[in-house]
Amino acid sequence: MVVDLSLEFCGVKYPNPFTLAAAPPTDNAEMVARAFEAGWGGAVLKTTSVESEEVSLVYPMMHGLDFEDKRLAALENIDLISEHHIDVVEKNVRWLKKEYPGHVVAASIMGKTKEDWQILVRRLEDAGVDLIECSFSCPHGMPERGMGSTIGQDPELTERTARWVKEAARRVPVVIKLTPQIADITAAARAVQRSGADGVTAINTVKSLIGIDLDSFVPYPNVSGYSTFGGLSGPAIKPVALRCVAEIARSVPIPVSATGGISTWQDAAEFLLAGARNLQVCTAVMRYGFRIIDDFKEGLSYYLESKGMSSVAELVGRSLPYIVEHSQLPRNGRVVARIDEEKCIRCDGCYLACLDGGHQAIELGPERLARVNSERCFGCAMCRAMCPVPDCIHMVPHPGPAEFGQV
Amino acid sequence: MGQKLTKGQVVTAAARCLFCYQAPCQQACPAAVDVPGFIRRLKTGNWRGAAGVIRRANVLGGICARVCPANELCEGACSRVRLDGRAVAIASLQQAAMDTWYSLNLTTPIPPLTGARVAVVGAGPAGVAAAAELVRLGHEVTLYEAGTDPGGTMIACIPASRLPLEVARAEVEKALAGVEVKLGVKVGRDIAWGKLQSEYAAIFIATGLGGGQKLQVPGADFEGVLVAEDFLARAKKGEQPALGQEVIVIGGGNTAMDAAQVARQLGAARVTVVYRRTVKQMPAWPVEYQNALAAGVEFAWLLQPVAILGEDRVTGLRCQRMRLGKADASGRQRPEPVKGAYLELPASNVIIALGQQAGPVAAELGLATTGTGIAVDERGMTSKAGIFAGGDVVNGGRTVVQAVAEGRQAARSIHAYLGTGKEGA
Repeated sequence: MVVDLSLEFCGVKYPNPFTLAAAPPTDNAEMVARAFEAGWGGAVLKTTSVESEEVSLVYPMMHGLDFEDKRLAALENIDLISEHHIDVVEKNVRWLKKEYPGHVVAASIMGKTKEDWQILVRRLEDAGVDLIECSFSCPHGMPERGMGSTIGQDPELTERTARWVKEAARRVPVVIKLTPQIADITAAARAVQRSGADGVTAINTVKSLIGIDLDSFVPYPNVSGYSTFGGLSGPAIKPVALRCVAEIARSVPIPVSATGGISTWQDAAEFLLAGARNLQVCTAVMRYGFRIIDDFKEGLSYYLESKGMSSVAELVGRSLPYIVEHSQLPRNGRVVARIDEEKCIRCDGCYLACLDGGHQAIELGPERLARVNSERCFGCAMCRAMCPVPDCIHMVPHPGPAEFGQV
Repeated sequence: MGQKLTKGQVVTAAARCLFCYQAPCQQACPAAVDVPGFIRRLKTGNWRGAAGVIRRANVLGGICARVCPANELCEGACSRVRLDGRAVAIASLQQAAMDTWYSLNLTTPIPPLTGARVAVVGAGPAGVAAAAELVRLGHEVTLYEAGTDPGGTMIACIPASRLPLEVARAEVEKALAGVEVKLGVKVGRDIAWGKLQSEYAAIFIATGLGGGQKLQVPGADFEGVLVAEDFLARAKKGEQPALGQEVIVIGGGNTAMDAAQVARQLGAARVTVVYRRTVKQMPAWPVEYQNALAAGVEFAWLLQPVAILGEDRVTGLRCQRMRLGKADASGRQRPEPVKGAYLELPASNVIIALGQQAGPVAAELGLATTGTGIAVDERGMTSKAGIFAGGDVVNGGRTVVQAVAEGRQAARSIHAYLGTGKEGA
């Protein structure tokens, strides 16, 4: 069975949903060309603005977050928009569309005034882009100039600005990139829908302070003795992004392009299941290179095949019906943990987790074999979350009464 | 046996630890080092804390990291083996923790004195560990050592490739901070045991064993016949004992493996270990046997030396061929002679590695003994009140870490004994 990975987003047909996000990997035509050669479906070029917007970068601009022996659990940056003059961006668009007509070339824009936004849309549309993405969401550098997440955090401003862009666009769809730094991201998504824009991208980076140098007391990245808050990306923000995408997909009918920590084909499948119709990647590309597209596409294809699906479109939104309010969660099925004695390696980590972090429901039997006391186990699944052995602890129906308080 | 790790390797190795609760590695360690505790600290870069955890249980942690049979102890018990087949590199991590701690050159505070004076006799691992623990508990400690260096057989004989002299000396010196050390004083010869008994509130005996056994066969005093312990000690001092081309080592323990490897390092063309049973019954650790094989050492099984051949100088070894019979008390099959079957091997040197004999201390003091050495109760106290013993002199010769554990335990028992009056006296 041949699996069709092509997916339409805002009326634009992508050969596959894997798209480079507006970021350093898309700042040069040559880089994007290499990505297309490698098999990426589309690219959102690094954000551009009008020539009056000065782009004053500082270095170093990035810092990684380690988790134990693993590097880059997350990446913070204080990068700004592209340094290229818009003339260069237009030239890049023309060249890329000529050389790679089957791939999607989108432009990311950021403006201050109505005129800025509308000029940017018209120029890039004329240059031949397939889609316009508007950054209402950059958390650093731009907000203090009234741009970036300043817009995305205010639904009224979001609606008004999106309307300006949509008015100016004659041919191409307009997508608004949202920030997670807002109390209710569905309010922003509804504002985009009211504006008439075609879709949303979620999420931009999460405003953060990645760490502090314990010797100098200066936070990272250290720019000549000072630092500033930056934008967090990478695997650590994936659960936040996944939640935002699902919330938006449940609340508005316009399509969502997902971005935020997509690092594996499994992540990709999850975002599609949560309602995304397009997937944008940056940090994983910076870490592993454009070549990861092969694993993304193969992994997703084989997964779809194993599910008996012939098109990636069949996945979109399939998990949404299973997300309900907390008060609507079923309360009649009591579960308990069960430890597979054959698989258990006697590390007794689950025992400790339940002892100091749970309900003291795990007992140590002979030879340190952990056993669950089903009278004490509430089925919280903390033990399963920490067990180092795959598929060793399962949650199974409680052998006794289903209701709490009756045991 | 630990390897030197880079800082990055430490983080990677430490991240493999599962932090078991009743950790099997700790349970397998004679000194009961809190392995998950020190690895957690290493993982966060808390080097001082990591070394502190190790030192609280084992004041010779750097030495043990290098000489412990870790694959038989902590690493052999590691849960990670059951997850993905390979133990956490505990010995290497312990070595990294201790090496880093020593490089910081910190001093440990010495607590106020309790007023009690304790004599420790013998400066091997048991004596050093006991002295260090007694100082930590506030007692005034005098350590008597017959030799010229503290550290005992451990420092003198374990080949430098496994335990560099400067590493061992530095660790012992640090461990003995606050201890009055009297070198070159043999108790029972230079100072009477009775004097110690009258001057100290308690005595800890850790005199080890009485030196390498000699072979009781004709020709045993020929030139070119060496006792393994003396040979190893001279080699480690850099004396380069002169060896011919054909060296035979008699014995099947770790000392035999060490002596055979050192003989190869010193240039002997052919080194053969002669053992009266087979590889299966050999008491040497498998890793030591493998190291010997890797060093080009050959093995001749089922041979019992009956005479050293030559005239004043060794020219060969005459052996009786053996076969395995019924199991003996130790459960190993007993070797029995094959009637009339003899073999003569050429040899320029014969190194005797038959283990050490018991020292004279038990007899001098009239202490009760067991099959392995001085008899002690669960506190480490001998048949005489106030006299404690531990290490090889009690257990007959086991690991360094076992001696450390016994020394530390005895020190704590002495502390309890001193604190509760002469209970049991």
